[in-house]
Amino acid sequence: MTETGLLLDVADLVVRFRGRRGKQVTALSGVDLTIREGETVGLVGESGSGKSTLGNAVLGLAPVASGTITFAGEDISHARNRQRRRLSRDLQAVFQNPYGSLNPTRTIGSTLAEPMHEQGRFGRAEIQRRIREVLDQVGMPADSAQRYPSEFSGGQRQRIAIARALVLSPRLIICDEPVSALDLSIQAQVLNLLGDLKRELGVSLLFISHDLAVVRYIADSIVVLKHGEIVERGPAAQVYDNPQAEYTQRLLAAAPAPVTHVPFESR
Amino acid sequence: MTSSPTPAPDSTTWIATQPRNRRRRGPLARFIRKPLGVAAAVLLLLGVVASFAPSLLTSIDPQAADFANVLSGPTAAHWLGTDSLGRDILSRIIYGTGPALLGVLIAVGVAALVAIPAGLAAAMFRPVDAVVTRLNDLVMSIPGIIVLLMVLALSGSMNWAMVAVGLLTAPGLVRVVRSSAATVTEEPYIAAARVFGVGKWKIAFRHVLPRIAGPILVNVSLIAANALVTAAGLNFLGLGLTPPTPSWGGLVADGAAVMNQQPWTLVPSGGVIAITVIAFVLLGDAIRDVTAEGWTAGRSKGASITRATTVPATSSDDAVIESADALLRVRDLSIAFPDADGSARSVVQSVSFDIGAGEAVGIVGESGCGKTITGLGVLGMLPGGARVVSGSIQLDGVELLELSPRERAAVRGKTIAFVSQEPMTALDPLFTVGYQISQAVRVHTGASRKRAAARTLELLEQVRIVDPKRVARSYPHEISGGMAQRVSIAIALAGAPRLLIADEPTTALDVTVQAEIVALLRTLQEETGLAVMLISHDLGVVSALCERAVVMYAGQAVERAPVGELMSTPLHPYSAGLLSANPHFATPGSRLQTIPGSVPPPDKWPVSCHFADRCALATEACRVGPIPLVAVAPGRASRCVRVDALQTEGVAR
Amino acid sequence: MLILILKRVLISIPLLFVVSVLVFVLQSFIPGDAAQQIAGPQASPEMVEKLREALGLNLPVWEQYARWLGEVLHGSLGTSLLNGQPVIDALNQRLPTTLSLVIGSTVIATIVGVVLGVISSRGKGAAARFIDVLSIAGLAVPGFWLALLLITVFSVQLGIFPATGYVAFADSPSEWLRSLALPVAALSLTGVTAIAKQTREAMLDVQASDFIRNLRANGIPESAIVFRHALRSSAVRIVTISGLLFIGALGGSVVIEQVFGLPGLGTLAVSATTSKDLPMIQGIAVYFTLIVIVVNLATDIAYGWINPKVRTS
Repeated sequence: MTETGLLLDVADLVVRFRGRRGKQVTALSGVDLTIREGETVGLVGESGSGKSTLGNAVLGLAPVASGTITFAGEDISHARNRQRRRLSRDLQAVFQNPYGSLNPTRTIGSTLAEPMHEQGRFGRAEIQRRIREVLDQVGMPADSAQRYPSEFSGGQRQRIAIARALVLSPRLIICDEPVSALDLSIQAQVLNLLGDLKRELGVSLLFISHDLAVVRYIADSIVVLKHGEIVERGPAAQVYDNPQAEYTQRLLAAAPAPVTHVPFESR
Repeated sequence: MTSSPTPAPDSTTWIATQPRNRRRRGPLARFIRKPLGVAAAVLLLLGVVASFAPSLLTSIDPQAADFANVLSGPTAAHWLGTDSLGRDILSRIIYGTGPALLGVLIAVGVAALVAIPAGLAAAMFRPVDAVVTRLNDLVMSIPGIIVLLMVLALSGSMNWAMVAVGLLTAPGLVRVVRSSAATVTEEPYIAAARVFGVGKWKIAFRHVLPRIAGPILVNVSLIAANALVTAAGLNFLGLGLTPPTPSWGGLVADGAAVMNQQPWTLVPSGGVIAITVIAFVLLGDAIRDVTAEGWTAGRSKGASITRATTVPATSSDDAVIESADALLRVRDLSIAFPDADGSARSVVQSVSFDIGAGEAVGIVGESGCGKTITGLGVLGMLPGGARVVSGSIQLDGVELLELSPRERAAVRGKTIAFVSQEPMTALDPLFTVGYQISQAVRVHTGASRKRAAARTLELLEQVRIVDPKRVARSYPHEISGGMAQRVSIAIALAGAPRLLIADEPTTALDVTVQAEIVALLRTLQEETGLAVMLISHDLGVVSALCERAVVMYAGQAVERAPVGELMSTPLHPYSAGLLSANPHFATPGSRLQTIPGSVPPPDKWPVSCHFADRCALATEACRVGPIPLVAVAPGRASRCVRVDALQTEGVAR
Repeated sequence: MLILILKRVLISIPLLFVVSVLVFVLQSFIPGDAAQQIAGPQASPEMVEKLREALGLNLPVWEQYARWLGEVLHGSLGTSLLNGQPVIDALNQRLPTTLSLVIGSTVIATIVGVVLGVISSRGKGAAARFIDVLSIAGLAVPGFWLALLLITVFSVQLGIFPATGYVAFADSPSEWLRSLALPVAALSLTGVTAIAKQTREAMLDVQASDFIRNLRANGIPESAIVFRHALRSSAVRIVTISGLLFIGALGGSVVIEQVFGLPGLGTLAVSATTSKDLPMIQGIAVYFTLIVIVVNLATDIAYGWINPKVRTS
């Protein structure tokens, strides 16, 4: 039934929230999206487009009103704790705010150990070994495990958040604006890290961002979302260089690129 | 894999550094260092001893009447004097401690047991929230004192009354727990835990509760204080613990009966209540601080920096003089924060630039480089004790640093105006948009209410708002972020300023809205001859709006150039690094050129090149002393000794 | 806004019901009853039983409650078991005393507290520490003890104010003021410190916000920033605390009235509970609850007046 290599299949997804005065607000109306093994899909849109909601729905953090989310052939549209716990081996997340993404009251070590503890099938030594391994993978020193989040900078925290997502060797990581709170030079470091992980571990990414340039750099294909509906999708280069939808064109035109070789006066 | 090791401190240039991982003390060791907390703990321990073994603390029977010695003041035999029956007051206080503390324990226990789970549940589960909130409102509206009086009449027992006190004070704690937990549950790490399939209660106790321990502890210590005073009040009324059983409230009542003859009797009884309350509050504060210190990085005390506060070598900035008739002329501006030990920690060092009339200049750099502080310095609004250490800021030939605070305030809004980053918090939510604009108009032009109202509509039109009348009547929460930013700009224009300082004015906006605001700023600049100082991390926005840019790194201006030239041929490795780190220019799949490490905090800045530790071109020459900003080409300046290398090798792009 | 008020009022009706049921249920557990109390310890069991029947105390609790409810629907709160006085009359007679005391202390606490809070939010170090010390003192010094201290100093030693007693406003406004001065002072100390601390913290929070910085950066004078913008933003928190203080003062008034011998609802509450005069207790509970409801309503209206977001939603 599953296409070969198909990892995530979101079909006709509708998400509604209870808004003010009990009104229903539709955040996503009938969205389709697929991600293959090893593929990185970029999800682009402005605030209120529903891009984060889509990631949250896959992660079980937003209620699915109708439609289905299939992960590795399994319907996870309404997965609860037990199923989530099993799923979390294959499906992980990295969130935007590097300052809120780690519990400040726990050491990095216990934050990284938590996913393994929840699985309940790892020994103490195995957990320690794995923590060292992922810290090394994201370029953090091993002694970070004994420290608290407040001792790290925003970029370092985001590396640690990525390490936590890697701990269970997932097949898909939902990255919700993982670099947009970071400074440019740090953003580049984290983007390189994600690119390396993609290549070396073959992990799939759903990369959610408002920044088209970042998405084009990291993603294989791009999906453009507006007001809860998909307005355009296609290979990254095609969407970026030759956008079809009027909205995508507007987005691209609006993003001010640092202009090179063009003197100010001539524009 | 780019690992980013912390740059090795070079002993010759790093004035003072302290290893970041100072040894962590255990909770007890941290507690011992709080004298007030320790004093409170000792006092309360004494109270516990008095509760369980009062005879250890006094040999006098609290009931023993000594009619020869009634109402004596403090004497050698009776340290705190005697009451109207000649009973020893100290002994009665000691024997009254047990019931007093037990009562507090009951009230606090009941309140905590009810309120913490209820508050957490309300924050974590939506349906529970409505129930808990309703119930809370209900209990808060019950006349507590009536219930207490009835429970006392009903049971005749102080302990049941204290259970009631606990229940009646629980709603306050429920509110505290609920609201602080609700804030924490918004944080992404909670979402991450849910992704792992961690159960909600586990999340509540493992991830939420430790975070909100502070407010809970403070509130619990207030509940304890309240319970103690309430119990004393009831005993004072002769309810609950009735004479001759010794109780603190009863002692006050005894004293009240004889206060005309011997006012002293009021002192020890009131004193013990007051001291115990203070002990509760201080202990609560101390425990809160100790728990929080466990996980927050302490300001490493003693790692103070004995640095040369200013760097005189760089002050001869021969590279400036960009326009003879500059509107704003900043020279060698250095700004410092006071350090814990009184020395100055400089955050902006010797920054110079000009902004001509009608010109737009970008101040570019990452966070922590001193851009915003520079802007606030020009406005004369430095935060938190920061001050200008040296330098000059001239506006239209007038030295701003020589003006009085009042004169400087008069410049703001009239000649220099300001627009900030986050439009949704930039306006006062309690006043209409129209009111806020017309207030600014009236302040700056002295116009009448009516004239100001007309001018308000003009300003709204000037910032291209389609329906000015309707928007003027709106409150900030009724308009969009882009609209709010336009309104902020309208307020800034109210005094017809000549220079607008815009601090990341588009960063919080969506790209399409961002483009509109940039376009608006350009139009205003053309229409009104407004000069703009654009503070931004975004090279794209800067290149869309500005003629020239100043690149800042770690408190210094490292490069000054016309924007186009800066983008095509950066002449400082940091500018070059920023450009090549931008994914705009990258080929998908290839690695981005990165700058290793991150911007060092001000206490780690060397006297020599601030960027050397992250720079691929750095040599020994970069680490020996201060690097001046020098003219490297017409209209261009760079703070780099390896400009030639940069020019010949170029930067990998 | 009007709908909000109406909603609030509607929600209050079940609250009154709950409180009255609670009082009845609690009361039914109290050993001994008014009959025993009235008849005195020497009375024979038959006499007590007769009295009990006459007063309707022999009926099951729910029936007593139903009777009481019936009376309420006829606009009465029954009569005192002790002296047959209609409860409403007794309460109305004493209500002005308690209200003068409680309103007076809340108003004083709010005004003094806000002034102190604003001043200390403008000052540095010492002013802040002063408020911190003051607020601990406000917690630590029990109102009844402070009352005794005030009596000792101002009545006994200086003789400026009367130690006890109450003079109605209608009889002599100046004496009314004098008779209330000390009780109000004793009752408002905690409130002053709580309001001062909250005002200070709210003012500091607001001062750190973006919009205050923008006002300052765009040349709005400091006086307008502090009094028009910052104080108004802080008002939400101040109003909340004032409302809570009012309710707290209602409880505190019981002890304070006792100390100063004021004929208010508080002294009545103490005597009614000790003599188990159920209709009276019930009546006081209803009055107190009504006062709390009115205060909460006033707080809500104040929120709406301050914050347009509340008004429009």
